[in-house]
Amino acid sequence: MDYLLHLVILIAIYTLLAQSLNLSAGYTGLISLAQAGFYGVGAYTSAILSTQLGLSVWVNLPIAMVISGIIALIVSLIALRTVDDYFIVCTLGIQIILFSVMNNWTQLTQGPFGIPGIPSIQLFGFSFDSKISFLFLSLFFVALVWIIVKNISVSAFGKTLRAISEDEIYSVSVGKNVYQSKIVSFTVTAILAAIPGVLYAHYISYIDPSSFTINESIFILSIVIIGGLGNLTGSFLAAAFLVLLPEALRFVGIPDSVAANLRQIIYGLILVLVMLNRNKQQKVLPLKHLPVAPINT
Amino acid sequence: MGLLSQIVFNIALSSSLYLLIAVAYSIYYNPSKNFDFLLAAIISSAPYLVYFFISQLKLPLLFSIFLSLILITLIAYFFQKTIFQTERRKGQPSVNTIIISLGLYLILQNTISVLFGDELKTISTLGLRHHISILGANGTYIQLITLLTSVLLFIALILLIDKTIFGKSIKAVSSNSQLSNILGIKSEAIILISYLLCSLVCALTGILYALDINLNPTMGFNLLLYGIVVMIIGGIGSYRGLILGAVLVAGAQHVVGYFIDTTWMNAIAFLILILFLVWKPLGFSGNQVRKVEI
Repeated sequence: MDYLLHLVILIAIYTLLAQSLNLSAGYTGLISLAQAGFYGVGAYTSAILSTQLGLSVWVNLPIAMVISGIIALIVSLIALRTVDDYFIVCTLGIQIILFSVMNNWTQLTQGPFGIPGIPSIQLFGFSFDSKISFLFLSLFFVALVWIIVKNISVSAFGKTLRAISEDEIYSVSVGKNVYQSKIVSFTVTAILAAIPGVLYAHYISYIDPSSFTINESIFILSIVIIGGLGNLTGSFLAAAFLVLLPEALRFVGIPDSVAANLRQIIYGLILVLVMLNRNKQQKVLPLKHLPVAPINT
Repeated sequence: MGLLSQIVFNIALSSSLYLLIAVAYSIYYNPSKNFDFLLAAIISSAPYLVYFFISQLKLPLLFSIFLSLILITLIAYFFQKTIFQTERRKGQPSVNTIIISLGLYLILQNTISVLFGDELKTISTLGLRHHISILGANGTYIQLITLLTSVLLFIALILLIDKTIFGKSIKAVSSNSQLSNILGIKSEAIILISYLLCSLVCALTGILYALDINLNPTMGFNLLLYGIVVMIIGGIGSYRGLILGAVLVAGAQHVVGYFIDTTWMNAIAFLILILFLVWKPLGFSGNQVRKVEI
């Protein structure tokens, strides 16, 4: 039973990651390979603050979000000078730099040894020690992020983002500030990505850089793409599917050492198949709930 | 004196590897406009094939290299023909192709991990790693061979692009693939050949690298990324820029590696890329990166 709860908590964490990435990748068309980096920034910020300074999670969470946001802001100011494919290569670079910092700045992050003994989350004297209580906490955050991303996507700003993902040049020509909108979208994504990071650190109570590698970034991107770009429910379902997949492999009796690789092979395969069958017309989101402007004759 | 020449030698060695990958990558990137991460898996699978031929089938080194290059070409042909060509024909956005290539990279890289394990492997090289002194620097035979091969191959590739009909066709497809189709250049065939050439050079670079150091399933990713960084900061389509870029990336890496720590070598390459995007977004020279051509 405990193990089932553990899986559901993991699903919640990956749903958070995928839904925040959906804001930039799905709605704005900014495919980012740096999501695991920002996830790691959140985890490490909270881990360091709580183990070294003994701060409460509720202080750490906003700090982690601000730090992740500032990094994303600086980075996006630079990376968004490029477009499309170059942007992806840039985010890959950001991911590798963030990973290097986690792996090599040993005075701060203890490098590959990781940070052990991260305390569990406390609220008004209640400790989220048990799996079931932590599950409710993470579900609360899933709901929160879901509502935030949903609200952004249907707001006027969300429509601008959609317009950018469909036709960037046209959006510029009707007077939208494309550069600024992209920066805001990328930064909000990183701010939200810090939340699952903080949750993960306090849940597992030990973090090391291997949880925040480039493969993790590709994994999160796979969730978003398999679930459908701009489809928040899809992200949740895809997260559930991809987290439960290795468990299915374990049931079949494949040893753990091979299962990790096999899992990556399978999600690579799904990724390729999904992309191959994606029609060009379906690249953009259905716009049925957007009001159609009356045509002046 | 010895230290200085050692650092210069190391920089020359690394930059020659990066340069080869950057040139090979640009041969494919220019006509197809596709970033392809599958090549990272190709860089690492080539030495694994060599390792397999030598350790399991007891074949001689040169013959193993030859065999693995042929196999790699076949693999590259298969993926290009079945997947990337159809994607281009359907007119899919290039972002799709990048994601597909990432998926294929994951599949190949993890297949290598399953077959050979994640730990470091060494190709037995029959004394190729004996130390020799080169102008005061301490190197090995294989490093000298790598250096010479890279220089020769680089010159050969430049001659191929600048002096042959094939090279001119690549340039034509790079600047406008539709127009070159009208003029009787089969752009898809050119892209296919350029991809085979690119994976061949990448595979050879991977083998040379693995003979010098060791091999693990993810080694290709870093090498390819350095190559891409060199290609971007060098400015696409400029040889002088590529050489400068390769020397700059390798130089910065080794200086940082010597004075701070070798573990930062990965980050510094991307730091250079980001600095370039701030101050010199067009690379040392070459084409602009922008959304529309006006």
